[in-house]
Amino acid sequence: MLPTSAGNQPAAAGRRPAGAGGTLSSLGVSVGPLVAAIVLAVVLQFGVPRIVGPYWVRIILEAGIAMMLAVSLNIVNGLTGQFSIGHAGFMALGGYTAGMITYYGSLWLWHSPARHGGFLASGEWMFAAACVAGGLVASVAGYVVGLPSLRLRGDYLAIVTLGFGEILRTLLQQTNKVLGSWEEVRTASIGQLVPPPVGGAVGFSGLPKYTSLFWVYAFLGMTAVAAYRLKRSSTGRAMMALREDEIAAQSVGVNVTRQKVRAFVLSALFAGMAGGLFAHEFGLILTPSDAGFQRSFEYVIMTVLGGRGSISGVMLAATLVTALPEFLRDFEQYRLIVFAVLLIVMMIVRPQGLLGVREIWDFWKRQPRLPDLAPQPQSSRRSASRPDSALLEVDRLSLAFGGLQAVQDFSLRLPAGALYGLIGPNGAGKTTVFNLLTGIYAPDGGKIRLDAQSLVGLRPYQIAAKGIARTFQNVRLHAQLSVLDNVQVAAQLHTSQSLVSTFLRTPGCRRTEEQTVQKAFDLLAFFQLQQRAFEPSGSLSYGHQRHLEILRALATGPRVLLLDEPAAGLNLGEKRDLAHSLRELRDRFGVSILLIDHDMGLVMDVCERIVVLDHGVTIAEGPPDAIRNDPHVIAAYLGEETD
Amino acid sequence: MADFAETLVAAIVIGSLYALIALGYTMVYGILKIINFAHSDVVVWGAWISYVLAQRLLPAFGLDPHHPQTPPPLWMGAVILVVAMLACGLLGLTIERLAYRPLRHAPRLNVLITAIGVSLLLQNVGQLKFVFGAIPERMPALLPAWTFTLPILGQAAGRPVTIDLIDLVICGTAAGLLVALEWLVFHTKLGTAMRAVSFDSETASLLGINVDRVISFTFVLGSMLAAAAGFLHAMKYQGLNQPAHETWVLLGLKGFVAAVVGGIGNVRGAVLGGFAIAFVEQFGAHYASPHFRDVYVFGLLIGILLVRPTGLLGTPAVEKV
Repeated sequence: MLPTSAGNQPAAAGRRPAGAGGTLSSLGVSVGPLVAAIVLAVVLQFGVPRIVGPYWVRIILEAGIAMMLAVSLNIVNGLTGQFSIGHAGFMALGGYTAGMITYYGSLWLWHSPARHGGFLASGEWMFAAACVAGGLVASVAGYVVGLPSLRLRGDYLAIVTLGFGEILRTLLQQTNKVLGSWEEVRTASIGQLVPPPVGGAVGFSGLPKYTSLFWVYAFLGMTAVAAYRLKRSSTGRAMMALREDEIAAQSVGVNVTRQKVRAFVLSALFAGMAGGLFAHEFGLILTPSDAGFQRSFEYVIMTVLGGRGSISGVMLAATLVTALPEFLRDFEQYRLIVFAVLLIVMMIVRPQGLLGVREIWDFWKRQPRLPDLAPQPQSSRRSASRPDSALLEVDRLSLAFGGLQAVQDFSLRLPAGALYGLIGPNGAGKTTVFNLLTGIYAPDGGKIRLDAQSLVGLRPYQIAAKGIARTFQNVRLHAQLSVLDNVQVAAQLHTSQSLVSTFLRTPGCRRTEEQTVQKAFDLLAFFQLQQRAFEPSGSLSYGHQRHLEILRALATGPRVLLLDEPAAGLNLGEKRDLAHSLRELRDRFGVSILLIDHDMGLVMDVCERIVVLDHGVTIAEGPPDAIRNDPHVIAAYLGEETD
Repeated sequence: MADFAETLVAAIVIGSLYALIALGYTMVYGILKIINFAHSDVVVWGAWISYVLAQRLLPAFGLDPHHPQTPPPLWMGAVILVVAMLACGLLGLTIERLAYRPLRHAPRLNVLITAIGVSLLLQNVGQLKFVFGAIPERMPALLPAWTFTLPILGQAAGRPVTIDLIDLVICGTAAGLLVALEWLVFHTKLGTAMRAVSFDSETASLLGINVDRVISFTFVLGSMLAAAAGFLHAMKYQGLNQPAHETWVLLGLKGFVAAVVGGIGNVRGAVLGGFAIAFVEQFGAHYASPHFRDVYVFGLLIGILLVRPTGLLGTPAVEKV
């Protein structure tokens, strides 16, 4: 779709050959970090126990499991900004599932629940498969818990996750009643007494102890690499965008519910695997209270302490939270007090967490090099639309809020390539019209058609995909995301990447990514913002933020662009530039523009036709000159003469 | 039918306790929009302070502080209740000053973590040897062991249905405190200020309301109610677990669930929620299975949130675009 030449691809630097050998890398799938993680795990397995004693081996193991849980929770709490406080429930579910598989699997295959075979022998592979199965079962639960995010937000969603963990805890306490009776049957059938594996409130004892440094760090490596690639993928970007501003994210085509549920599923998947590791560790017994909220809180503490969204940060925090109490062991009675005080002080003096949103390596890395791009002239697209028929047709649109008729019988025919204005005094219903057109409000009655397709009843992200983009009266950017990310999240609307290809960083996935970067830079060039591409958008000046918001809307590739007071707060010079830019936008990108603004000079200057609203009713429509002299319009703005 | 009547009485008594705890959660949430997870630990401190006071006061009347042979004078319970409420009020004030006030404009997640930190702190300070200790104790009986036969319910049930004096005291105290709170929130200047801050603290401060003072007062009030709940709980169940025991956490959690079910931030909703979950819990335990009583409570929570996303009496939040 976009003219890209191989010479000036901005992300070309990312195209290095993928890591160490293997057939996957010959396919172009990037497996380097995964191979590195496994090598590291082998080194840990055989190197570390020689250096430190079993006590520290255990702490390193537990830190690894904690890191895995913190990184997985960070997908929900850090990336999407939802708030899960039932994470331990997923862990426990995965742990119980994996435990049942290895316990009954061992009995079935080897007639003993004990550990079977040495390093990487058949027993360990069954254990690894059991952990994955535990993850899958937990991810199903993640889907169920994530679904209420359709209706609930913020604290209320958090409370549902808490309720889930508590319900699971209660149910797990009763497992011995169910499994005990199986056990009797089995004991009777094979005539051999084996201690029951699931002991109600006492916990899941008698499991084969397979968990070792190798498996913990291999799984952790996988989790961390997957989480990091997710964060830098289109999916991760969509998740962070909805964290910053849900409504703005929807307006550029992010299916907010889908991304939230996805985050829950992925987060639960990795947590469930970690649960499998936990259940099979020597010296730990998985009990029902491990599903409860006290343990969940530990993981929440780790994510907040590490910095929301920073993967290395939460790993660091998980290590600290696991190891710190060990260093305070001499003050047995006081160690939790010290921990609590540190936690409170930390939240007061460093609220953003240890690393904030950055990764450890960001502190050494120089700022990404700016690709030197000449702005590429873009041919106006879709200009070949039928000239006579209206592109956007609105017919008798109405909406009432309770007794207030906000919009009444609003009709509009916006042809392709048009630049129309929508004006009216404050409270006339202009923004409400935009909200109706973009699906934020459902109309009480009336029709909206884009190119003869009805848009009524579609969700905002679907309307964005159909080709209507907008800006907001009060700038709504994804403030913590970079300027580039803000545009990219919109530019990726018509691309698709599966999660699997994201995790493997397949060539197709990287190519798509390069294309959206290219497209984003081309757009940024329009308002000369490419030099600031890597700065957080919240740090831009107000005028630049307004520009960026327009570019973000354009990046979705719209056919109709709705601009809500783009000139508000701009100075005289900026307004003049804006008038020029609007015409150029329309010509270069081939969009039809509907403009709301209070600056009459601007509206009269650039718009071909103007619709005037007052109290939800269209009081005038016509070319600027007619509007300027229309007595109804003058009355609406200046008040009527009373004589 | 007799079972039904007895379950009903139990539900009302336990509902009163939940309601008292829920009020603290709901008032703080209404004003600061934070879930004060340390609230349940104030309940615990209330119970333990009552215990310590009883240990000091009973010998003054020549009674064995662990197993008094005859009940002490009735006013002693009242004195202990009032002192415990005042002490916990002070505790609430301190918590707000030291831990929450510096975070007034911080992200809410941080405040929540701080609340968890405060909760951990209260639990573990409470467990220190020279504070309450880490061993479960038994609360001495402060009331005579009178029981009353309920006239109407008993006739309907076909056999006598009794209620203990302590149950009547719990219902009476809770009802008294609820009426006092209702009057305070809806009929005094301070209550009006509280509601104003809850609605919009910035505007309230522009109108000359000392927001900090209102917030402090809210914490004091919530903590005093928590202390009352702790005292009554200790009187009823007598077994007093160590401060970090998980039964306390669960009690606090149910108070919190009550607040959410009723519509968090809404004072009347908290009371409604307290009774709602007590009914579900007691009737579920009696007629279905006692093992799953927590499942009923949290199931009710999730069910109600799915049907009414902001609780029974909560007002739906609308975001302006």
